[in-house]
Amino acid sequence: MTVSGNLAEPVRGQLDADGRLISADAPLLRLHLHCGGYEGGPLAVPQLSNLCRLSRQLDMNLSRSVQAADEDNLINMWVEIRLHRGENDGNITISIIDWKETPAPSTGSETLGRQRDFDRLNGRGSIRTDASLRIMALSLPSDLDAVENYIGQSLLDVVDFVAPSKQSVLVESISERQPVRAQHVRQKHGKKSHYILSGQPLIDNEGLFSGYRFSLELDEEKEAQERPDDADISKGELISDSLFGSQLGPALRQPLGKIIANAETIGSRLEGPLRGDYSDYAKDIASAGRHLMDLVNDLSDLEAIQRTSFSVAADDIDLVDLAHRAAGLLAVKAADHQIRIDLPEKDIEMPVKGEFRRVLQILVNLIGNAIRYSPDGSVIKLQVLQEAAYSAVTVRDQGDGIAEDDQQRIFEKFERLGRSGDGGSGLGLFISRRLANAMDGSLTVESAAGKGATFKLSLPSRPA
Amino acid sequence: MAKRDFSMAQNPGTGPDIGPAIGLVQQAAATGASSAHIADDLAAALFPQSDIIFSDRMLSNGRQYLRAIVQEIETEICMIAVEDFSLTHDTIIEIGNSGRGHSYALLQNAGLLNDKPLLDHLFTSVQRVELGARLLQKISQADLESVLTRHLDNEDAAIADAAMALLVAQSRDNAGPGLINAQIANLPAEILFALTWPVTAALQKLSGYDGPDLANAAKKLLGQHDEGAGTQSRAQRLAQLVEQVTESGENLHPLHDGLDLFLARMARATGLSVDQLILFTAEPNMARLVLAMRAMNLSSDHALSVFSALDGSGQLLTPASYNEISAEKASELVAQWSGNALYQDAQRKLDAHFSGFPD
Repeated sequence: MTVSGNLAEPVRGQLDADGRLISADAPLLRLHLHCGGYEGGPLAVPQLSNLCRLSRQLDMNLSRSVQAADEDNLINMWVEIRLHRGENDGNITISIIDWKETPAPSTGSETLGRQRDFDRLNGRGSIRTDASLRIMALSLPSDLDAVENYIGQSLLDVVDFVAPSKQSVLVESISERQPVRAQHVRQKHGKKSHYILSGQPLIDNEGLFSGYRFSLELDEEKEAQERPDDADISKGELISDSLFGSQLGPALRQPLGKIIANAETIGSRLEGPLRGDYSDYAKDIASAGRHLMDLVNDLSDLEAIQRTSFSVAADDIDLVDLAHRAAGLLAVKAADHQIRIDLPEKDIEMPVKGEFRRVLQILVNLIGNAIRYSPDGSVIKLQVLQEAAYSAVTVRDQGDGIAEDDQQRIFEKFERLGRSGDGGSGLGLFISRRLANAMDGSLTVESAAGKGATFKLSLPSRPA
Repeated sequence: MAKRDFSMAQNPGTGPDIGPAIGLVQQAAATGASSAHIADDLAAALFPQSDIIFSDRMLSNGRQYLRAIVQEIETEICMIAVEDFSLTHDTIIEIGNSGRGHSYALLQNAGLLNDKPLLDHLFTSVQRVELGARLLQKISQADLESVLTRHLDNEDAAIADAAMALLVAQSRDNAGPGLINAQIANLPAEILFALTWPVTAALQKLSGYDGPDLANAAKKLLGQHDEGAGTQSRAQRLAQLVEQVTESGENLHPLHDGLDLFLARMARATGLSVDQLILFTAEPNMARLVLAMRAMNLSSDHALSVFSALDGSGQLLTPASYNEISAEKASELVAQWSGNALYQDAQRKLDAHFSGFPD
């Protein structure tokens, strides 16, 4: 299918003397933004800005064919660059008289994405290096931290060769631009996992050697020798013990993120007018997407806290500070329901030991629940208190409260007390309590039916 | 006339209208300087570095084209200077009205025409005329023009509009088979830019005028130039539109599209430039053009037909030799040729250096 510009009305844009895009019709502005530009910033479409630069350099008008691309389409344009003379001297008008969008030829990106997801499930990774073996991109499913630590480093600096493989064999293959086959390597840092490394040299369009694409497969044999306990645990399980945290979670979050972002874009009619009911459908999609995303996050956490090796950091944190941060994160949601969140004074200090992000997670869960189950226009009150060796923060709402019989059940997995359709997964409180316990603290509730509920998170105090 | 003769005499080597006695003295001096380059000229003739053979007609067309373009530019500059900037310098007025070129010899002697992009453009223009002449041996001018009219009825208004623009440009260009028609309008911006400033400097030297008006006129000439009005540019626009609605290579034929549209469409389909394709047609056996067609997966009948339409020296392409070319290898090579020209040039030079033989 071809989307064509209206012949009678070219797509126009104007640059000032400094090359900034000071006005642009919607398609051009969209392309400019897509290429990383911002409104009023330098023209970011490389093909067009090159043409403008040439036009300025020659001090001549130009008319040329240009091909650009956004994520989904190839855009063929016939571009006329006109230099302003006299008034607004130095400005440039861009007129695009044929704006034709055609779907970009399939690069198999969908298949590649799917392959990547399967690779993650199978513990496979990939590394793309430049010609000097510096890592330009990688996907290492079992070690997400590696992504930010390894980029830019030489491959030889991040892995050791394990017998029978030798570094010299790899270096020799690379110097001869030969494929690399089944080399046993081990990460030098991080999880120090064993992998089997294979790679193919890459030749660019100009026939030049441009680097290698390596694939990494978890070396299960070596891993089992190294970590016999872990191997026993995973033996016989169809799904490994880190399915969500490191495998399905990331694989699901990316498409979900796209669904939510696109649905929000449609719902907010950023791309143009839309029938009201369609806009509402899009909002429903976004809402359902967010629900799924929460579920994925909860399941990842659930899996993490159920592992025997799960541990939390003992950061020096302050409960008052965290209460303010958590409330800040939910301020918009609370305002939507005209709910006021009362917070302890900022100058009070309540130092405790616990992992910063986990405590924040618990508080966000508690305040989020309070907003969800409180009537509109009510007040949620957060207070801090000192109890012997523990400090606590309480979250009190004015909702329906929880009957005494249910007060223990709400901390169980997938327990919803018969509620549904409110966006909860039934995992939040279970996870929060497990997290609190892991930090040597506790999470309790006091409530009576019809009188609201007060959740109390207690953590070990530390000297201020 | 006397005035112009006098001004020429002040500038040796600028024209033939020189008195006999002064002429011989000047000729002797000029010849002495130019004879220093005899070895270069002989070397270029004896040891050509390309495989392309220039016929006398091509060389003659080339000189004629370059002279005509230089003359057009200098006339335009003089006219703009006189009419738009009210310059009242006699020599400049006379050059503007004389209807013949004056700065060519000056530029040539100074080596200012010996510029690679300019000569590449010159070659392309000359070879294009050759190709046009070859096509006209197989189809009449009227038929060639009528092939474009089918696009005039296209339901896509942009295509119809672009086809009309190309027809208009082509009818303006039509100088007759084998004749070269030099027009500023057809020059790419870079070439016009590269010629205009040396011509302006030459005009300044010829006239002795050192005011700003010639430079202002040159700027105005460049500012007015609309390369979108050139025939090749219009063919490119039409090709861009046509290629989007047809399968790549569908009906691609010089007899079906006309030369300009054919070249522009093939350039789009292969990622090569029109100038490259024109160069390929001048190479022995049009080998690279054949590979480009193979890379496009044209059938052997189709490729053979295109080949015979463009061939002018009775070269032969057989279905067997075409089919035995690996399409994959052809695509790989075409992708290489469509890469950076400077890089390819450097690669070739380095290869020649190391092997001792140019490829």
